[in-house]
Amino acid sequence: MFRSYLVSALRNLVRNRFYSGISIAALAVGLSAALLAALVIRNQVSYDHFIRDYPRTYLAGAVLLPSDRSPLYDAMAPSFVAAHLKLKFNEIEAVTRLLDQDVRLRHGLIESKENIYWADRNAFDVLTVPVFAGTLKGALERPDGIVLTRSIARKYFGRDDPIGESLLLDGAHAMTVTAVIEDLPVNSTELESGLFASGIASFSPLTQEDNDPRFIPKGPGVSLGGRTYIRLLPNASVDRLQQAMPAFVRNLYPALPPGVSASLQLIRIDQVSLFPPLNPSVRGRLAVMAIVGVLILAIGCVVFVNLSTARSMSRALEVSIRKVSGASRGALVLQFIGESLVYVLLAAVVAVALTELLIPHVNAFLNSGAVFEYWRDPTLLACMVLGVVTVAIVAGAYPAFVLSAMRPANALKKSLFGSGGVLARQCLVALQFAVLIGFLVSAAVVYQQRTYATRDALRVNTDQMLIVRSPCNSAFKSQLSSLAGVLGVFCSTESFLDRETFSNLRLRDGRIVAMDMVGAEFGIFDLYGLRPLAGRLGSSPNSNGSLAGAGGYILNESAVRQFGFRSAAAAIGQSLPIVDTGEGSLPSGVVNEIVAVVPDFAIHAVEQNDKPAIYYLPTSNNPWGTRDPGLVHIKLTGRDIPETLSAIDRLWLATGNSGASDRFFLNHYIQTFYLTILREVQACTVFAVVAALLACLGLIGLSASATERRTKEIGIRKAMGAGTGDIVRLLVWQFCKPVLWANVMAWPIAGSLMNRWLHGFAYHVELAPWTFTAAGASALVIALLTVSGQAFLAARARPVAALRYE
Amino acid sequence: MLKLEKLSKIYRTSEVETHALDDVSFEVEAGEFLAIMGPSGCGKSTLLNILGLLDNPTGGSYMFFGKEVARASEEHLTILRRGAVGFIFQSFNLIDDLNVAENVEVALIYRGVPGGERKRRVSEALERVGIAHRSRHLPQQLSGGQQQRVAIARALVSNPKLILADEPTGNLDTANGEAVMELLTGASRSGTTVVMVTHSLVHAARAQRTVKLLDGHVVSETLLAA
Repeated sequence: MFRSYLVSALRNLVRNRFYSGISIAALAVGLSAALLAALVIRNQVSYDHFIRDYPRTYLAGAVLLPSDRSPLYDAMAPSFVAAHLKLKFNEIEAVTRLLDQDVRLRHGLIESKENIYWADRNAFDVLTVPVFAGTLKGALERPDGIVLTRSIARKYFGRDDPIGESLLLDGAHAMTVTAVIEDLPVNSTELESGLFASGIASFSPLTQEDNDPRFIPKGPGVSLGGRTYIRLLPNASVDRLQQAMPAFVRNLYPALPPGVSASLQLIRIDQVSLFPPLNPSVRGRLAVMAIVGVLILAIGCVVFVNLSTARSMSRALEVSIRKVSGASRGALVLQFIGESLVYVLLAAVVAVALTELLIPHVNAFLNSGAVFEYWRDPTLLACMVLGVVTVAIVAGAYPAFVLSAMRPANALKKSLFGSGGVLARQCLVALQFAVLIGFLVSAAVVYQQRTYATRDALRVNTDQMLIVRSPCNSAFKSQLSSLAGVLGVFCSTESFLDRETFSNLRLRDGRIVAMDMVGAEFGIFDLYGLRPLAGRLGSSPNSNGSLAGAGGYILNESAVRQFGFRSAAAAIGQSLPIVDTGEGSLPSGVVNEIVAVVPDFAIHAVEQNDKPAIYYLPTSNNPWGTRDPGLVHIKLTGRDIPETLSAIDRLWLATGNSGASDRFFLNHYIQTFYLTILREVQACTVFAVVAALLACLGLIGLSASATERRTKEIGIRKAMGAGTGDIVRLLVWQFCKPVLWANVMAWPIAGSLMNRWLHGFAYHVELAPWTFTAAGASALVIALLTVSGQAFLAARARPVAALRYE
Repeated sequence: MLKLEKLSKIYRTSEVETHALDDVSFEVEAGEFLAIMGPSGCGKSTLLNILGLLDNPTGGSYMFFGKEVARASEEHLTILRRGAVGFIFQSFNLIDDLNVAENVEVALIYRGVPGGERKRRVSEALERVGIAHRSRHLPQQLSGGQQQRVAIARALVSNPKLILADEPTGNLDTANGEAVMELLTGASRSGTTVVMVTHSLVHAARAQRTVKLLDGHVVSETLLAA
C-alpha cells in the first residue's frame, strides 16, 4: 500500500513539475529561515557550554542601587570581594578572577597588540576549558606562566604546541607558554580573549589592585576590577546565596553615600549574554528572530497548502477511484500527508543546502557563532527530522482533509469542489500578504527611526568632529589649534559621550538625587553648536575654557527641574543647592554659581530619557575633577580632511607619544551605537524581500492553476465578445481582493507593534499614515505584477483552443 | 440480493429541485445480468451510483445483500463497498500516474490483501482480460479498448459479488465493445451479479433482464431469452 502511495506521489510530482517546483521552493525557503533562526537562537542560549561545570558556574557582577534611578549592573566586580566570598559562603566551591588588559606581545619578528586575561592561579579549576597541549593544572602557578589558544600559538610560533617557549610582553616581561587550549568557540562565549596570563606576576594589574589601597573600600566609592567567577558545590542553592548578597556587600562597604546601596548579582555564565540589564535588547531580538523564522515558514507552508488545494481537481479522479475501491477517508488522509512528507523531505534537502550556504553570512551579519554540523550533532539531527515530520503533518493536513472529503459520485461527474476551498485559499493569500505588509511597515519605521536617531534627535552638530583620547594638559592638545583644518579644540571627560559617571547628591532640602557629572571646558558647547537657554557660556570665569583658575557650573534643563528652579533664567547666578556631593561637601573659595543652562542632549541617549547633568570645569579644586579628563574634541573645517588627519598624527608623535593615537570620528562612534538599529533595518528589509518572494511564488502557482481551471470560461467569454482587458481584469481581480483584505489584517498589528517599539526610545518618530498606505500599495503592485503576466497570456489565447479543450 | 423499494433521489439547490429518481422498485437476484436502459437524463447513472453505494437515496429503501443501506453513513458504505462491489465506467477512469498493473492493484490495496497475493491476483486478472503484455504501460499509452480491459480487470480482481458497469462500451468501437461484453458475460456466468447501464439494444440483449427508466421512473422490465 505504501509503495503505491509513494509511486503515485512521485509520479504526480514529476508530472506537475511547475507546481511541485513552486511548492518545494517555498517550503525550502521557509524551512531554511526557520532553521537559521533556530541555530542562531541555540547558539545564543548555549554560550559557554563548552565549560564543563557551566550549570553551577556563575559570574558575580556588581549592582549599584542609587535612590532615584534604576539599578546599574556591571559584569565586573571589585577585585577584593573574591576572597571574602570564598571565606563567607560554604556553598562556594571555588572563586577565580579574570582582569583583561591590552598588551603588546612579541616573539621574534611577530609583534601584535593583544587583549589578555590576567587570571588567578586557579582560573582553569573554575573555567574548565579543553586543553590541547601541556597541562592546565598549575599552568598559572608560576608568575611568568601564559596559556594560549591553538590559533594564537600558530600565529606567534607557527605550530600548535610551543610549550616552554617565550613571549615578550610590553617589551619588558618574558612570559613562558605553559599550556595550549583549544580555540574558544567563535561568538559562543563571553570570554573575549584566548590568552591567560598568571595574575600573580608582580606587574599584573590583579596584583597591583590587590595591593592598591584605593581598591579597598574605605571611601564612598565602588571601584570595579575584573570579572569574578564562582563555582558552587553540587546541589548548592544559588537563590539562597543571591538573597545573602546585599547584606554581604553592605558589610564590605560601610561608607557608601546615603541613598546608595550595592550588591552582587550572580548570573550563570551561559545566561550572561541574555541577562537583560547587561544586554538589554538580546532577548527581544531573539524573540523577533524566532517569530520571523516561524512566519516565513508559515508563508512557505501557506504556498504549499494553497497550491495543493487549488490543484485538488486534478486528483479528484484518483481520489474517487480509490474510494470506489474501498479506501477509507483515513487511508486517503494518510496517503496525502505522506505525499506532503515527500514534498517536505525534498524541500528539506534544498533547505539544508541553503542553510549551509547562508550560515556564514548570517553569522557575520549578527555577530553570531551558530554552527550547522548536523552530521555530528544527534540532537540537531533529531530536531530536524521532527521538524520535517511536523511541517509535513501541519502543511499536509488541510489539503489531505479537503482531498479525502471528496464524494466519489461528485468527482466522477467532475463537479467542482465546494466554494469553501476557494474562500480558504483567499484567506491564506490574505495572510501571506498581511505578513509581507507587516514586514514592509516595520522596515520603513525602523529606517525612519534610525535616520531620526542619528541626526535630528541628537540636537547637537556632530559633523566633522574628531575625538582623540589624550591627556588635556599636554603639548599635543595645546598645539592642535594651530593646525590648518582645525576650527576648535576643547577637552572633556568620557562622560560627555557615555554619561556613565554620576554622583548621589544630598540637596539642601534633604532630597538625595543622582546626577550625571560631566567635566568639560565650557567652550565645548560652541563647538557642538549648542546655544545656552540662559546665562552665557562666555561669562564663565575663564572664557577660553582653559583649565586653570576657573569655576562655575553649567546645568542642563533636566538638572534645573531636578534642583527645583522655576526656570532656566531663575537658576543663573544661584549656587548649587548641594550640601554633600557624595565625595564630600563643595569646597569653599570656588565659584559655585550656575553660570549657564544648556538644552538637554546626549550623544547616544535616544533610547534613554534625559538625565540631569552638571557640567563642571575639571580643575583640581573641583570635587569631581581631580584627574585629567582624557578626551580631546577637535572640530575640523571639513576641507582637506586626509591632510588634516595626517598632520594630527604627526603632531601626536612629535609631542612625545608613541604608537598610533586612539582617535575616531564622532559620527562613526554614534553609528556604532545605532548598529543594532541599522542591523534591524537591514534585517527587516531582508525579511520583507523573502516574504515578497514567497508570496509571489504562491501567487504564480495559484494564478496558473486558476487560469487553467477557467480555460473553458475564458473561451466562452471571449466567444461572447470579451476583450483581452476584460479577461485580464477578471483574472487579476480575484487575487487583488485578498491583498486588499491583507491591509485590514496587517495595519492594526503592525501599527501596535511598531508603536510599542518606538516607545522604547526617549525620542522617536511618529507613525505616519503614509507608511501604511505605501506598504499596502507596494503589496498590491507586487501582486499585480505577479499575476498580470499569466492573465495576459491566457486572455490572448484563441477562444476555439479553450472550447476544444472541453 | 439487491432490493429497491420506492427509491427516490432528489437533487436540491437554492432555486431548483430535481427528481432524478422517483418511486423506483425492483430486485436483482444473485448472479443475474441486468441491463438498465433509458434516454439521457432519465436517472440511470444516479441509480447505478446508489446501487454501488456511492450515494444515498433521498427516500425509500435499499437492501444490499440483506442489509438496509439507504441511510448508511459514508464510512459504512465504504466498508460494504470494499468487500463487494466492482465498477466499470464509460470513460475508464484509470489513474494516470499508475501503470496498468498498479491501476488494477488499487482494487486490492484497501482490502488487506498481502503484497505477494496482490501481485498474483493482478497477474491473473490481466491474463483474463488479455492485457498482461502491457502491464507496465501507463494509461496514456493504451488505446480505448485496452484501457477498458484494464478497468474490467480492476473490477474483477477483487472477486466482487456485484459489478456495476456504466456504459462500458460507450467510448469503444464495435470490436472492442464486443470484447468487453464477452468479459462481462463471462463474469456473470461465473456467478457475479452484473448490472450494466447501456444505450445499446444489442448489448442489452446479452443481459437476462432489462429495466427501462424514463424520467426517474421504471417504465418496464423485460425478461430476455437465455
